[in-house]
Amino acid sequence: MVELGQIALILSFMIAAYSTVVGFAGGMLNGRDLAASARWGFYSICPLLLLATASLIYAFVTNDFSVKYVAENSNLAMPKAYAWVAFYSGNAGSLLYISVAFSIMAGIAIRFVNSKLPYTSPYALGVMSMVLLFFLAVILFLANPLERHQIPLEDGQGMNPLLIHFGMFIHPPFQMLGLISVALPFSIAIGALLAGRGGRDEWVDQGRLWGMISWLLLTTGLLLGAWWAYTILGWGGYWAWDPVENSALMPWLGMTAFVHSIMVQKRRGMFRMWNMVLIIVSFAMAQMGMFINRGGPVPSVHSFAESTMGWIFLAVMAATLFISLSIFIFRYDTLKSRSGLDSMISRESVFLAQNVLFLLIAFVTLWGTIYPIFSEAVDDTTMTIGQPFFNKVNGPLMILLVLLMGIGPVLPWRKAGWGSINKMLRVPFLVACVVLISSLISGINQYWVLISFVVCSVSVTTVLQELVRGTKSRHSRGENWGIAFLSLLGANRPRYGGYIVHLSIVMLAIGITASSFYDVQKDVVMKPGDSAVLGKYTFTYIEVSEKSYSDRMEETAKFEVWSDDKYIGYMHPYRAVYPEFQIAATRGAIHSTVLEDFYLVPSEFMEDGQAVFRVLINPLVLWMWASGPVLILGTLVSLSPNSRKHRKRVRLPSMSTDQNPLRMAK
Amino acid sequence: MSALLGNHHPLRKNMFLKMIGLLTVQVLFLNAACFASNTEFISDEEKKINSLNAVLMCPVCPGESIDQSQNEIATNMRTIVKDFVEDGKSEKEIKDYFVGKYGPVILLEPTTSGISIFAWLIPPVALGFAIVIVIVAINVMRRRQNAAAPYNRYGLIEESISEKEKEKYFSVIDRISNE
Repeated sequence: MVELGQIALILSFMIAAYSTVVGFAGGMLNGRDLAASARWGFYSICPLLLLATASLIYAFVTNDFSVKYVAENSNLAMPKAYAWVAFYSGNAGSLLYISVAFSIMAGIAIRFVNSKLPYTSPYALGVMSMVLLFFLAVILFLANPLERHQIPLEDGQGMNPLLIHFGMFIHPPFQMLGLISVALPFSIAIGALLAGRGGRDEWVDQGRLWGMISWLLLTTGLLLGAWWAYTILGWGGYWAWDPVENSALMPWLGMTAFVHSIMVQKRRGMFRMWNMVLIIVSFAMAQMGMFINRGGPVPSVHSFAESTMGWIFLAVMAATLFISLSIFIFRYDTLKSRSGLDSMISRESVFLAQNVLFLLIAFVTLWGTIYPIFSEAVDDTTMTIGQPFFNKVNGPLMILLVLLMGIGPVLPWRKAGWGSINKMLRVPFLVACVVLISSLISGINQYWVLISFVVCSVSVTTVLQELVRGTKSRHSRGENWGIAFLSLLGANRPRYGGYIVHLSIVMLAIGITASSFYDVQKDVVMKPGDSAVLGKYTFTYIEVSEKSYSDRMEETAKFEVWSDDKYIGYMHPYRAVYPEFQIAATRGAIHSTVLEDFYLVPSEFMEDGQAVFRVLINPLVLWMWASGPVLILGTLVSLSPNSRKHRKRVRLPSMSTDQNPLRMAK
Repeated sequence: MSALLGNHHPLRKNMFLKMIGLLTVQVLFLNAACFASNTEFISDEEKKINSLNAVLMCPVCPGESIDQSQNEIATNMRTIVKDFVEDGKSEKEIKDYFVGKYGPVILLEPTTSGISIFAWLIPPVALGFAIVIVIVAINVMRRRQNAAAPYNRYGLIEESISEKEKEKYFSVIDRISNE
C-alpha cells in the first residue's frame, strides 16, 4: 500500500513538472491545445495525491510502524480517529496535506479561471503547478512521509500529547489551507501580468473571489487557533504573539488589505499596481509563515522540532519575491490606473490609508519577530520580544484600523463634501459620546479601553446607520421591513457582506479589549473541602480523582460553583501527565456567559493533598468566539454571485500567433 | 412622551426614536460594562505578581511567559516572584534579579537601553513614514487626475465624465475631424 503511494507521489511530481512547462508554453505560444493538456495533467495530480494520502492514513490505521513517519507520530495507544490528525501533525505529513489540499483547490480555481480568463489561465496554471512542484520536490527529496525504516518497530513514539485534542481536527487544517491558498490569487495575478492583461481589470473578479476564499480560510484558522489555545492550553489566554502566530497573522493582514483594495480596482479601475504588489507581498508573507513554522531561527511553541528545512522555504521565498517583482517591473507600463483621485477625502483615500496601515502592522509584527536575530548578529545581544511589546505597539495601530473601518464606509467614492460627512457622522458621534459617558459611569478608567470602546461604537453605528438608511428607503417604496432588509443585502452583496464582516470585527475588538484589560487572575491553594471566592463566584473544591491510561495519568478535580446565589453546577478541570514526553497538559473548565467567562484550571497537585488552581474571570470572551460565525456569514454574503449576467463564458479563439491581440496591443 | 409632542409630527417622532435608541445603547452598555469592577476582586499585590509573571520568560519554553507555561521551572519562578513581592521588593528589583541570573533574554519586552532601543523606535518611525507615504501618494494621484486625459491608452472612458472633461474630449474630436 505504501509503495503504491510512493509511485503516486513520483507520478504526480512528474506531471506537475510537465504542467509547469507546458502551461507556460501554452501561454507564450498561445496554444489552446497545449494549455488544455497542461490543465488536464494538473487535474490528474489530485487523485494521485489522494491515493498517496490514503496509503499513509492506511499505514496509520493498521499501525504499520515500518513506515518512519508513522512510527514517529503515532503509537498503539492512539485512538484510531487520530490517524487523520497524525497524518498532518508532523513535518513530512503536513507537506503532503498541503499538497493534496492545494491540488484540489487549485484544480477548482483553474476551472473557473479558464472559463473566465482564457489568456491568463495557462500562465496562472503554470504558476500553480510550479508551487505544487516545489512541495512535491520537498516531499520526495527531503521529507517523505512514506519512507520505510530499515528495522521495523514494535510500537511508535506517539504523537505529542498536546496535539491529542478535538481542536487539532480543525485548527491546523484550516491554518495550512489558508496559508497555501494565498497562492491562488497570487497565481491569477501573476498569470494576468505575464499575459500582459494585468491592466485590463478582467482578472479582478477571479482574484477577488480566490483572495476572499483564502482570507476566509486564514481567518477561520486564526480564530480556531485562538479558541483552541483558550480552551486547552490552560493559561486563560488566546493569543501570545508567538513567532508562528505572528507569521500566520502577517499574511492575514496582507490579504485583508488585498480584499479591500481589489474592490477599488473593481469599482474605480485604480490601485492596479498596488494590488499586484499587495498580493506578491502577501504570498511572500505566507511563505515566511511556512519558513518560521518549519524550523526557522526563532524559537516557538508551534515549530516542528526536528525539521531544519525552513531555510529552503526562505530561499524559495526570496526567489519568488525576486521573480514576481521582476515580472511586475517588466509589465509595469501595462498597469496605469484608469483614473486618479478626485479629492483628498474620499473612500479611495481611506482605502489607501487602511491598506498602508495593514502593511504597517504586518511590518511591525515582522520587526518584533525577527529583531532578536538581528540584534544578536549585530551586537551579540540576546533578547526576547514577546507579548508585552506587541500589545503595546500593535494595539494602538489596530484601534486606528477600527476607526478607519468606521469612517471609510460613510465616505462616498470620488469626493466627499464636508456637508455629507457632517450628516453621516452626526449619529455615530452622538453614540460615541453616550458610550464614553456610560463607560466612565460604569467605572472604566483605563484610557486605552475608553478609546477602543469609543472607536468601536463609531464603527458599529456607521454600519448600522447604513443598513437602517437603506432599509428605510426601500421600505418607503412599499416593501415590508424584512423584505426591504434582505433585498438591500442582495442588491450590493460585496458591500453589505463586508459590513457584516465589519460588525464581527467590532465584536472581536470589544472582546479583545475587555478581556485583555479587565481580566482577573488569582492562584489559590486548596485542599478538598475548601471554598474560595473570586468576585461573585464561590467555588468549592470537592475531590480529585486519578485515572491511569497506557500513555498518561489524568487527575481530574471536581468543583461545585455558585454565581452569587445561583447554583451553576459541577466543573471539572483536569491535568494529564505524560511520563514519556515529560509533558503536562491541562484543560480548563469554563463557565461561559455573555458577559464573562469563569475559568478554572489546575496548575499543580501536591503530595499532601493540596492543589494549586488558577482562577480567572475573563470578560466578554464569548463575543470573540461569536464573531467567527458572523464573520463567515458576512464573507459568504459578500462572495455570493450577484446575478446571471456575470456568468458569461469567454472562449479562447483559435488563432495564429501573429493575430494574438496581446502582440497587437503593443 | 410621544403623546405630549404629537405622534404624527415626523420630526418629533424621529427625535423620539433616536432618543430611545441612545437610551437603549446606554442601558445595554452599562450592563455590559459591569466588568469594570473586576479589578477590585484581587489585591494590589496579586496584580503586581500577575503583571510580573506576564513579562518574565520561562527559560526552557520558547517564547512563553512563566504565567503561561506549565513547566516546573516556570512554577518555581512564579513562587520566587510571589515571595519577592510579599517581601516588598519593587518591580525593578525583581526584574533585575532575574536578569542577573539569566541575562536580559529573560524579559519578554526589550529594555529601552543599548541596541534594544531600536526595537521600540522603529514602529513609531515607520508609522510616521507610512503617514507621509499616504499623503504623498494621495497628492500624486490627485495631480495625475487633474492632468489626465479623459481616456487612457486602452480607450476605456470613465463611466461618468464631468462637464469639463467632456468639453476637452469633444474639442479633440473637433480638431481631428477638421484636419
